[in-house]
Amino acid sequence: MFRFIFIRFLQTIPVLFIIAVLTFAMSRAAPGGPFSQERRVSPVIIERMNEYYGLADPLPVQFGNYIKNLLRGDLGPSYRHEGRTVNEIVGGSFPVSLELGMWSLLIALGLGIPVGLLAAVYRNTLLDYVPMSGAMMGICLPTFVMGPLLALVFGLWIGWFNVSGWHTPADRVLPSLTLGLYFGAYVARLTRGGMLEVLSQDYIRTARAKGVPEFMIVYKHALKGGLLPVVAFLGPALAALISGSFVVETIFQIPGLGRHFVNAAFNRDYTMVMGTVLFYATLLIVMNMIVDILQVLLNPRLKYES
Amino acid sequence: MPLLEVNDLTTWFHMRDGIVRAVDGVSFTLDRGETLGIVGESGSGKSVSCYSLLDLIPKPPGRIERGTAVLGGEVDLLRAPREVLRRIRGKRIAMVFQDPMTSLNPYLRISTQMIEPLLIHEGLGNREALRRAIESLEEVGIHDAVRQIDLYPHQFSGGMRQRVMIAMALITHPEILIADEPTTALDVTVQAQILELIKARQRELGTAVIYVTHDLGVIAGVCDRVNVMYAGTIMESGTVDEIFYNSAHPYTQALQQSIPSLHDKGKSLYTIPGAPPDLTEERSGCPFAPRCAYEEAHCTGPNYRGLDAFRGRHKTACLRVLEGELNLKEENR
Amino acid sequence: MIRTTLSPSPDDLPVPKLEELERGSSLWKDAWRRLRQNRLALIALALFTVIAIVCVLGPFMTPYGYEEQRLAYGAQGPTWEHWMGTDALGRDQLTRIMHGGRISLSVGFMATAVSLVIGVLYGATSAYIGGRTDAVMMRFVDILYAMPFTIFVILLTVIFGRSLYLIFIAIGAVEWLTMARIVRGQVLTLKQQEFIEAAVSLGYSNGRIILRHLIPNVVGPIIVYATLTVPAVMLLEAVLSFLGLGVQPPMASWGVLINEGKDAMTVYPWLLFFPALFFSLTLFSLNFLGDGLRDALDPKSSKD
Repeated sequence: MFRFIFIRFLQTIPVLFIIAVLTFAMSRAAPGGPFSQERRVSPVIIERMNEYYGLADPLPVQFGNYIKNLLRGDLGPSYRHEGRTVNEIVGGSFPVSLELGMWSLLIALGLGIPVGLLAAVYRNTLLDYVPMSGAMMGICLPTFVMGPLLALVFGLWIGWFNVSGWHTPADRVLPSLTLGLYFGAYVARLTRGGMLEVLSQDYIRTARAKGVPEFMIVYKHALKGGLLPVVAFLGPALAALISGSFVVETIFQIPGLGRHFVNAAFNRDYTMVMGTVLFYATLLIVMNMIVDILQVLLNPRLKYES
Repeated sequence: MPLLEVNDLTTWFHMRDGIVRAVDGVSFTLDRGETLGIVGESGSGKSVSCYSLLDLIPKPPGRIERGTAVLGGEVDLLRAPREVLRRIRGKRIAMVFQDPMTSLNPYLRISTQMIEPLLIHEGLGNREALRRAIESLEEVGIHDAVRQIDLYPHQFSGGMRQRVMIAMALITHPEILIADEPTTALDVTVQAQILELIKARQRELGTAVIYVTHDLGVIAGVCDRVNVMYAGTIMESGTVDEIFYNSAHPYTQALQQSIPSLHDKGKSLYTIPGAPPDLTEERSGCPFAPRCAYEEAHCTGPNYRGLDAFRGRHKTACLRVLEGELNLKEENR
Repeated sequence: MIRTTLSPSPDDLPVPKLEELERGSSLWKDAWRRLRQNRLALIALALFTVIAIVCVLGPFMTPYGYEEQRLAYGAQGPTWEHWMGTDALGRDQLTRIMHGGRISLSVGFMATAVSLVIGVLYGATSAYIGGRTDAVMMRFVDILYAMPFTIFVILLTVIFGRSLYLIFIAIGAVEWLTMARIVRGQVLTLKQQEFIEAAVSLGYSNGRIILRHLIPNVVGPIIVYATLTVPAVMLLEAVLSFLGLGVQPPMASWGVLINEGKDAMTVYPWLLFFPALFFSLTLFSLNFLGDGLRDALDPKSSKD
């Protein structure tokens, strides 16, 4: 088991390196340098700035410096926010995004799993059809539709919440719901599918034949296997949560990393974009690793193979 | 009084394309300690009739249309409240299934699954239940049970898993054990061991066993009495000797003739002409008539009366045999 | 022990001819029959067809251009002249939605086509060659799976500008992974089947076997997955446009319209409502159609 975790950990290193190389290559392959957009700036100043940021060095040297800084965890200065480093910006805004992500995940799992379970156990009844139609609708209402709608209804018309900002605890509600409901819909569908699959297995019939009460069949015999698809979904879900956070933070004007990233992309703030991409990539790869390990822990068949 | 008395059991599956009459009026009895074989082709309703007894058929589309199944002269399994039936399952009637690879829960340890019947039905504590579980694993010939019991099913071979299934089924000393094709998924060498094991345990505990199988060899080897099923109904019922040496139904005979090793080498193998009937079509008269070598017009007429006494407890559904028109012994001479 | 098997022997079953398997005609007939029985999928198909026709043909019917500003008619709710109202610049909302639909749908289909080509070629090649090459190629896919795609697409648009073609390629370039996996799995199972062996023994070239024999037999799952990729791709494009990183004004995809509608929703809620409705209905119909196709083409995979 520890061997498996160790190997899995070692595998992430080359992946991160490849991502770093790709990001670097892409940014240098871009037509024009990062400062070529500002037309009113004189060529002399651009040259100065290029020199200051080390862009005048030969590419291998630049790459070497870049990797060296990365290894120290230094993502460099922001080209647009004068006097601020990418590290500072990420450090300041990521906790906000993290909190949003946690609330959303909590809503998604807390709502999706029970609903999916209920639908599977009471298959082909109203308890299945109604929530599952809701889940299908949830999937067809992406965050950038759901967000404005929620803001319109609960923010403007009913007036329970603020339409933007991230100050009071109540400000957490609409953004977290926007993101959480969407993934909750997915989780509900996956849970139902996983549970139906497991409930039709021979070993569930064995449990019935032993006289195991129905609720114990669901919780003791079926749940573990039935939730495996949900656990497997957590990896891609985290990636989707990140892109969802771009949208939600833009809609509700939340000062999270997602909004900074979108602004940086809009303003072509190269170091900021690259730094954020690397940060997100690392985060995702680590999270995926944890999900992989979790899957193995949940499934005894995999546990002993590894 | 018989231990189990099944009367006119009828289970249909209501599919989109029509009603599949999987079990259509099956009646039989089972005595204490007796071994009954139910033999038939796949789709003959032999498994469904057993699953119906314990309410294990998928509902919907399955539905038990009518019939009774009285256990010990006191409770009708087909009409018992859910909770009553649940207390019977795994306690008074236990089951062993065909495929030991899929019948044990891969996510739970053997120990967890073994002790479950004891916790549910006998209210034992964990420790006592575990002791009993280890004991019964040893009784089915699993060495080092103390250690083995903590493993997961996938760490066992197929034969070993079937031993676990048997130990688990018998752990509450049930009155009836239903074994649904218990050896079909196993290697030939292991098959005999498993049958011997069930036989031995049955003798010790006085359990009645119902074997559901398509393997006439199993029937010949271990059963006292046999029901031959075809198209959801019983064609013939009798002792093993009656069925094998004094068969009173053309279908039973055809079945025996299609066993390859009974023929001389080099001869072409015998196959029953035609195909099993479409169970979605309503049947009138003998379901085997279209494939039967001795079929006459009145076999499918209104006089057909299904399974009836032939000689004592030996029963047949063949109208011509019952009417004395057909003597299968003579015919084969 | 005496044994007898009572089920029919494989020799009794009709064996399909090589040509039949190449055409697979009965598969399609069966699939169509099953699809027709699925009312939800049929409704989805009809809904999608209507939306597509409206978006493709609609712009020829309306008296308004999508850029045509008539400030005097600015920001009206739905009227007889403007069924879905106008925006602040007096542009007809329905016309804008139809033009936006053309862009969103074409991104959906073009990017799916790109991902299809890459995924099918990659997956089929990997499975067909097999062995070490297969292992390496699939490990590469595994690695890519862990990549944050939206972020990469955004990075690409930052670096190479925001052209429509770039969006096709960028999205297509990240959406092919699952397709490659599906195709590989399908080819691996087919590879062991006899009609491929027959083709090999007839001395056909590898290229011909892949093109003429393997690909026709994996089209079922590919169609299903492609149907489900279209809404996923449209979603990604809409996210980009919504964030201001997609198509450039005055062109407007549904994502752009929803973004504009969100900014104006306090005063002109219809500007948010109608594009959102069109977009959601399209996602809805494509998802249900995909589910229905899956049940029709691969009845085994159906969960209930």
